[in-house]
Amino acid sequence: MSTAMIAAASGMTAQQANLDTIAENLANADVAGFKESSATFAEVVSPGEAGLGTAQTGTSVAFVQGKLERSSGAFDLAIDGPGFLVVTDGNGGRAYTRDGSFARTADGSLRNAQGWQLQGIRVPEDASGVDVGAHGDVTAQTPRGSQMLGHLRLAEFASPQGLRSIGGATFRATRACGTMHLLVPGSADGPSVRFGMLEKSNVSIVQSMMQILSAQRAYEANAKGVQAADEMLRIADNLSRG
Amino acid sequence: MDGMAWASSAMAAAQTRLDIAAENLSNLSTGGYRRREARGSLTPSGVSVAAQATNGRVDAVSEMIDVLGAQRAFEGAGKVVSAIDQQRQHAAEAARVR
Repeated sequence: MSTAMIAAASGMTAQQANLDTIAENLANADVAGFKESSATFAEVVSPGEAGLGTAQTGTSVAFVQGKLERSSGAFDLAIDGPGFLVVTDGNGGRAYTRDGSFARTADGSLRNAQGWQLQGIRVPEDASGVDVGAHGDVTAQTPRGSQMLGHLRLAEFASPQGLRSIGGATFRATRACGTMHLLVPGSADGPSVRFGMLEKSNVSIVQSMMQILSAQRAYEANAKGVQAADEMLRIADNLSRG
Repeated sequence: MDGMAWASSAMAAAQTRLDIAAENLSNLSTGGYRRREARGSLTPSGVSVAAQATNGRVDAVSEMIDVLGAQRAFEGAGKVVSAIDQQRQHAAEAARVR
């Protein structure tokens, strides 16, 4: 294989990876709190300094705020500002998410569709709604009056790009995240948390469609590069046949 | 330098041109990548092409044109090689007839 063919083939692989990432974004466009990601690439250089194309180095997540929308669920919540909700799986496993679509379960805990439980909050059976006040104090409205449920804290990471996605809008912490510290929602310059709202994903469908088109064209261009390299090998081959 | 050496250096130069265009195309989505340019020069041992760094971004259209250009240049130089080869073959046959 010629250098050109190797480089062009790596370009095709790169655009395939691009498409995969865009498809994942589109598939999660309706997941509350989902953050769009994009594949990142680096040039591959051989020891002899000739370029050998490109290779994927990972994906980069755009932690940009999504729009807040009123939701029909009384226990849904949305973060306006930085930070993640801390959720547990009941066995001590912890994860971090911006997806606040929770429902009350029989034991009073708030769980999302994947079964993750919002840490530190238990809602009484007769609660009609929940509120977050200053200092992250969560209160429930019940027929007996308002009742204090606990304190809500948000997790923030020194380097959120180190978070590992475990599907949808949920992440696990890794060593690459750096130190985690807790944010108090409702403070003057901190994030605010609102019940009865959901954060929409920050995926733009139109933008994704345009990215698909350009990835497709770039794939085609690289395929032409492979074809040209192949054609030139054929010409060289015919020369030796005389 | 004979014609055969010239034509084969032209083929190698066209191959390098394609390598550079393919390298640029493959890095269309690489953040921070700067386009390389094929620079041709005449040397005592024929034509030669080398990659030169630029500050520009990759433009798919101009790289595609480079791919086509390199392919045709390779084809053209290949034709010259076969023409010279045929000529030499004729000359050898003529010598044998005599």
